[in-house]
Amino acid sequence: MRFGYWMPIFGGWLRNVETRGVDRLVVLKALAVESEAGGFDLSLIAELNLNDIKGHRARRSTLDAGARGGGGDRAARAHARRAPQLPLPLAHRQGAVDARQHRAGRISLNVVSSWWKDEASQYGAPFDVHDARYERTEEWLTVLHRLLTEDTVTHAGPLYDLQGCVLEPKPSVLPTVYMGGESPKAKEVIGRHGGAYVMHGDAPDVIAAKIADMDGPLGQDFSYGVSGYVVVRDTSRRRRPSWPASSTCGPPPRRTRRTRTSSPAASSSRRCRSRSTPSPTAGCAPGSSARRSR
Amino acid sequence: VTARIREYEAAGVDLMLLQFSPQREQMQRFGEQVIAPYAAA
Repeated sequence: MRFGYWMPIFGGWLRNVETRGVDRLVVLKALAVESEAGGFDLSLIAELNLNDIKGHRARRSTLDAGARGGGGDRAARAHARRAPQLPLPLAHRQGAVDARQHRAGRISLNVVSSWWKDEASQYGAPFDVHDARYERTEEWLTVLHRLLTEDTVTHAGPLYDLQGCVLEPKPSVLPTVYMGGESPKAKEVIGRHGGAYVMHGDAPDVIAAKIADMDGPLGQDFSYGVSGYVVVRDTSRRRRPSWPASSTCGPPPRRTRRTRTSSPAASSSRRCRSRSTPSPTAGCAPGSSARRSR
Repeated sequence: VTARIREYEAAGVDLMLLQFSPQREQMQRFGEQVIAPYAAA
């Protein structure tokens, strides 16, 4: 098992916990370094123009800040890239912010197909729906692969048109492409272009069924990931939620601090969104890649 | 927690993408109390 974490570029994952006043860049850099020592393998840095957790006008940290934070050698970084919404190769240039890391194979891609309509319409980006999302994703990934492997690329497709495009530097290792999605079209594209399938944090038996469903066309090296929100405390009792189990959006704000400062041991899924499905352990896929990939 | 992780592993999962709050202290705890013993086992 490899362990990855979402870089808290929005300040934190709980909408009802105030994080103003925290020096976020200090925290991001510390996390990047400390996580490697702690045994984490992957840091997922979402690329969004708006703050998904704390509100549109709230600050969010930049990709650069997160990408430059790391000092160690081990942890790879995955960038949640709403690739299909971005022009090529501009989108990928961001991933090569630190060319040294890029060449060392420390960058991977979490490619998400049309996730946030509000942001897309605010920023003038196309927002495809249903199968069209994956048609765009597929063409985007095809072009990207060529850009990473060929000296000069000319591509005239239905959605992208590149004339003699040069993208340097090339990576020494092609980035692993993480993707999510449950529609037949999504799975087809993931099978053709993805290196990893990332799912919501459903219960293990549900996950096993999803993996069995994917297994056919994919190779042995294909990776399967789940998103989760972890609460580790000293006893099961202490990690118990102090709000009704029927709640789908977490505790009322006043109780949150008590929950946070108690010291409980088990992992649970308390931080839910209305669209997520709580499960006993690595629970709701929070602002997860799986969710972003739908 | 480790037992639960093993269940996911048995299901075919080889990567967990996690969120924590407060992130820094809880990630440190997860590293010390979950990942280290898990990796040593």
